[in-house]
Amino acid sequence: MRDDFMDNGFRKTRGRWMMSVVIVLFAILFVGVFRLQITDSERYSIQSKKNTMQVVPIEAGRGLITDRNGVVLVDNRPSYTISVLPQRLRGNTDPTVRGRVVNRLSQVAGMPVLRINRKLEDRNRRMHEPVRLIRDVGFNIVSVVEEERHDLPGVEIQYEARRGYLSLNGGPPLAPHIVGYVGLIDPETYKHKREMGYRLDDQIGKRGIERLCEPVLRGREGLKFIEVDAFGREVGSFPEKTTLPQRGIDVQLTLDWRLQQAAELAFADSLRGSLVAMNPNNGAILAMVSKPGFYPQSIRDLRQWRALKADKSNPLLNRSIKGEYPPASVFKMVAGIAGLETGLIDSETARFRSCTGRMKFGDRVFRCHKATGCGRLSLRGALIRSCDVYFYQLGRKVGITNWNRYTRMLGFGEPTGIDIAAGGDGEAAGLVTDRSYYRERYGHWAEGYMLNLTIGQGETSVTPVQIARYISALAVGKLPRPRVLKSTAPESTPVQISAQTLKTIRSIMLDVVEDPYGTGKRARVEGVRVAGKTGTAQNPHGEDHAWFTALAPAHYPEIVVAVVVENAGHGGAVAAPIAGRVLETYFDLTRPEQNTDILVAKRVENEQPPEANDSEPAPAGSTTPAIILR
Amino acid sequence: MVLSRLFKQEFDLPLLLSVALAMLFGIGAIYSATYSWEHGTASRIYERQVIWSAVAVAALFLTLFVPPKYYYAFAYILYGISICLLILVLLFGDQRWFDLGPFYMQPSELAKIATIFALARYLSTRNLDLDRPRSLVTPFLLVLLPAVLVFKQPDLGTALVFISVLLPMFYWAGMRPVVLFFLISPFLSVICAFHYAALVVLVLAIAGVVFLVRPGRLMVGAIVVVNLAVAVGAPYLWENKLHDYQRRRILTFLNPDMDKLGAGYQVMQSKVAIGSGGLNGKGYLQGTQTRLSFLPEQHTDFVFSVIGEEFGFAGATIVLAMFLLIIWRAIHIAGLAKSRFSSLVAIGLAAMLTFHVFVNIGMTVGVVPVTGLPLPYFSYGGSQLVVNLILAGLLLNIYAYRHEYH
Repeated sequence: MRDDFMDNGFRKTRGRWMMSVVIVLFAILFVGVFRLQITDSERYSIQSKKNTMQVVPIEAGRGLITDRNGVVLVDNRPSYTISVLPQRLRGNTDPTVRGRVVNRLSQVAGMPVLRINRKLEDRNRRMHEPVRLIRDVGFNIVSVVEEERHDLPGVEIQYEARRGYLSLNGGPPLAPHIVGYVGLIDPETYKHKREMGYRLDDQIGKRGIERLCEPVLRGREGLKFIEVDAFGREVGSFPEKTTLPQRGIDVQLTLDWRLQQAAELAFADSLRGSLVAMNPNNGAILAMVSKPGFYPQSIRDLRQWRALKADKSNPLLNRSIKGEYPPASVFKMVAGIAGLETGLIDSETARFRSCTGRMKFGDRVFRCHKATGCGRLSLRGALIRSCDVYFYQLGRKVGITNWNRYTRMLGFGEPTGIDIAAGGDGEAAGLVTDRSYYRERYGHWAEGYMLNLTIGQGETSVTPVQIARYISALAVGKLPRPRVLKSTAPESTPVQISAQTLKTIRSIMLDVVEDPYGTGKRARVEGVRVAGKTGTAQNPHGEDHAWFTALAPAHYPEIVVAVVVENAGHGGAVAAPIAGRVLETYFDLTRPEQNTDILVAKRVENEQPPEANDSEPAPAGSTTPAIILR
Repeated sequence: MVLSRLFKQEFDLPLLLSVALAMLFGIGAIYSATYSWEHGTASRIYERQVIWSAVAVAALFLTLFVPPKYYYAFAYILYGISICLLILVLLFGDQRWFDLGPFYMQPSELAKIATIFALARYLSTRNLDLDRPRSLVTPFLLVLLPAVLVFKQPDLGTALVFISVLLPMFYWAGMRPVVLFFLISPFLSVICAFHYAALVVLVLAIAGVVFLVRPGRLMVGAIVVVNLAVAVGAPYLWENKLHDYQRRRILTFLNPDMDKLGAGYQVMQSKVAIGSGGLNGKGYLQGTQTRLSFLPEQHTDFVFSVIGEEFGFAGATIVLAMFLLIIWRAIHIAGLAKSRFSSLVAIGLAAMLTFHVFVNIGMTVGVVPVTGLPLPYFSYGGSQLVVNLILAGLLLNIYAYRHEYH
């Protein structure tokens, strides 16, 4: 040891150096504290509040969906959700707890451990947000979890509303294609909707009205501010900050549930197809069926959802607006109108050659559906019997240009603009051809094509709602824009067809149903004069598609119906009775206590000119036309 | 005799008062950190700490009654005993603690003081030439033995405490600064090896010191060889010999932000607690981070963040000032003591205290990597409290006997 150790000067110097080092170290600490508490204090204060304040959403009830009379089609029903607070699992002092809880939940709920873990570790989740693990669990599971609550820290049972549907005695829900369904928001949509207050676990309208009216139906969730500890446990609340949820606004449809039910029942279970019932005066859809249907509830179940997607009969397709069919004989009125309007024919004179069941044209033979022949017919007779040979000849006379003009005028080849199409289904435009179409496609135009087009075969396709609109135009002289929402403003475009022609066509269609030779006899409704037209569309892939379309009452139309049944055979045999059933229900509903015999008598006396239909129409179910007639 | 000295103003009153204040402050912080909000009552932890405080105060007075010459006499024996205990605790204990029924004992706390005694005794040997490498072997061994044993527990922080007292005591014992610098230089080389500019600066600094001081050829050669080996070898090992997970572990140690849920989480929450305290703090028992258990280890290693949150910048500054005062008194007492042994002990204690305070508070404010060191007088733990009051007792004792050569 150096001798200077005991020297006071030596110690003083070294002591000072050591103290300097200590002071430097403390200065570092001081600066650290200063930075945190003075410079960046605000940032950390905010962070600290975020840490402890948790915003808990209070679910807003989704708006109801009702029919035209306010009868609830879709409502909210309670359901239970098992959710987990991952913080509480992670923050637990015992690291085995997490594994145990996950295993037990997997056992109880029958959900693979892997899927539970994946859900718990989702990176997109916001801090402190409970993970809704298993939704809509049965009460048996709820009671097990409730019982073992103390052994399952972080596990909670949440009450959550889910959609409930009006159905026929526990059968399939009404109008699933129209009301649509809600489902968990998918990650892609979530990214866009996050700013709008959607959460990762939220329900969102995915199809139909649920999607179309999502902003209205959703409502606004309330917020509850609570204080939580590091494990996500609630330790206090700030009731003064709470905002209450705002329930979504109800949406009223133009459908009448009773008519919808009748229409759905009229379709036998095995049948595929579509039905559209509409008020021709304002485009209000009264019933809209697409078969096969589906259970909106089953969308939540992945397995059922996959099965639905894979189903060859395509139950998710809304056939009424997306289904494209050859129109067949229901299209014959187009050629008839073209003939009448261009003065080629009148309704009662037989101008063409007699039908022998077949017609030679060039080197081809075109057949009539009645092989034995229909004889020599006027337009009236030809439509009543749906004679093909008559229309082959008429078509040649009318020509493709005129035919195309009238087809387009009656709303084919373009979307109808129905509001529900915006609900994610879209709408098919159908196909209407002209000369140039054939030239482009086949290199030439031949008159033989025209023969097929006239009878609604060949390259023409239409949707059921287009047919309903077309029949509306025949009924009231205007093309209405079909609508399912009561709030959509009615809109109509007049067609350039004389009232006289339309009246003639209607009177012929009345005969189609009422004449002993008529093909539409099976659509008759007691006490109501129904006008209609059958159609049987040849289908290269299988059985014929059956069509029937109707308007009623014939002299004061307030409802039109279009029915198509896929691969079912003859329109008059299969589709007409379905339309008849719907019409019968409709008139039962609108004229409940009337003596129908007297009514018919009066109406016959009162036969009105078609112009009268321009006056403000009365919607079904409110003021009945019968009262006006008296 | 002690009391008479007290009345004769032989007591270092500022030191005694700071320590007493620190202890009371600490108990208050533990009360807050462990206060049960569900029941509105104090916790068992707090009650135990109060009992321990009484025990620790008794230990302080016991220390006062023993004159420094006895510590000198028993220095090596005490060191031997504590090494035995460290071995025993590794073999039979619960790694760090002996379970003694009603309480636990942490032998590493005792070993800290014993090592300082042994080191002080060795370094106070007359005619010890600290320029000769041979005379450095024993002090290194004295420190490395307990450090390695504690590191095995594993308790890196406490192991570093043993090493931290070595250089200040060398310095105090008269080692020339240049030798001290050369002792430190390999550590600096390791750190600088990964940064080109820093390495250049270091090389220039070493060259400058060599040029100014002109040490012997052997020493220059040793310095060059050791530093070169380290500067070249460390990056090579890093790139080629370490596994990914080992690299990651070291990086996390150096930068806890990389690991937000482990050590990084603690630092983040601690910073949030202290930062949100602001200038005046949230008030006693009002700290939300503390109350809601966002802070891990809030009554032990992270107790400073409770103070920072509840008493704000003002409280934190007071605590820092208190420690600075205690350390200043320790260095001052070292300068006063006539006995070499006592003087070196005082410096060793000052160094130990400084290291604890710097590492612990530095960790809570995020300027030092997380290592599990308690904050003296504040953190919960009987062994810590007893040892740190013994430390205070020793300093008071050395002050009281400052005029005696032995």
